[in-house]
Amino acid sequence: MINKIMCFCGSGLGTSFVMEMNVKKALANLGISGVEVVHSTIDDVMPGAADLFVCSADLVSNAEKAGKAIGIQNMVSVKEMEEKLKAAFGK
Amino acid sequence: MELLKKENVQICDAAADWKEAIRTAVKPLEEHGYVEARYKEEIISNVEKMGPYIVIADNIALPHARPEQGALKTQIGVTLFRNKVVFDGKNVPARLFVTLAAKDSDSHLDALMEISELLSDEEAVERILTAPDADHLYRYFASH
Repeated sequence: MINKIMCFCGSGLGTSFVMEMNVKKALANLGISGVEVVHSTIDDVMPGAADLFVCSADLVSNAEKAGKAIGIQNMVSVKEMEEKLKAAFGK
Repeated sequence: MELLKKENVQICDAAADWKEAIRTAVKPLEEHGYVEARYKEEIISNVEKMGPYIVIADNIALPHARPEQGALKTQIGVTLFRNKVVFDGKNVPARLFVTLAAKDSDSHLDALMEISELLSDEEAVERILTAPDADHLYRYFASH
């Protein structure tokens, strides 16, 4: 069950926020509601911090240590986000 | 896009490597007092530590560091390189550098939202990447 998604990047200010917006758009497009979405820095990535971590493809190996994670190539693409979230939610 | 000022928009030919590209892309913000001199080196050091997470899509980089790493005032700078800039460990190059300075965690979010929307439009990105001069480049962003 995915109740909380944490998008993160190295600084927690830019890239992570862009991903947060796109996660929210993608969830809406997929008809998934009731999921908390936050953005943060890599320092906050730890087991239990979220049910799913979303980050750039370069950082995904760090995130996998903390839990389920998806890596994004094109962070401004809602389409890619939608496809990857769809798989993560098993839809 | 209100936050962007014309004085912080530039077109450059090429950069020797990604570090020089970041220094060039931060320069207008540094010259106009939005970031401290150390800001560019903090961005470089973040990328060295954590990988090229600032390359957010094909051709697009979003260089930024944390407020406490030398950002003084919230501002955006746009630098377009005519030639590709390659990052170590990244298979896609970058040409458009949207430099972000944020004085706190939320004053830049509206601008970032607009930038993200603009850059998710592939035709708009194509237009931006082929901008004939800095005036056009500024207008593509400002009119969004």
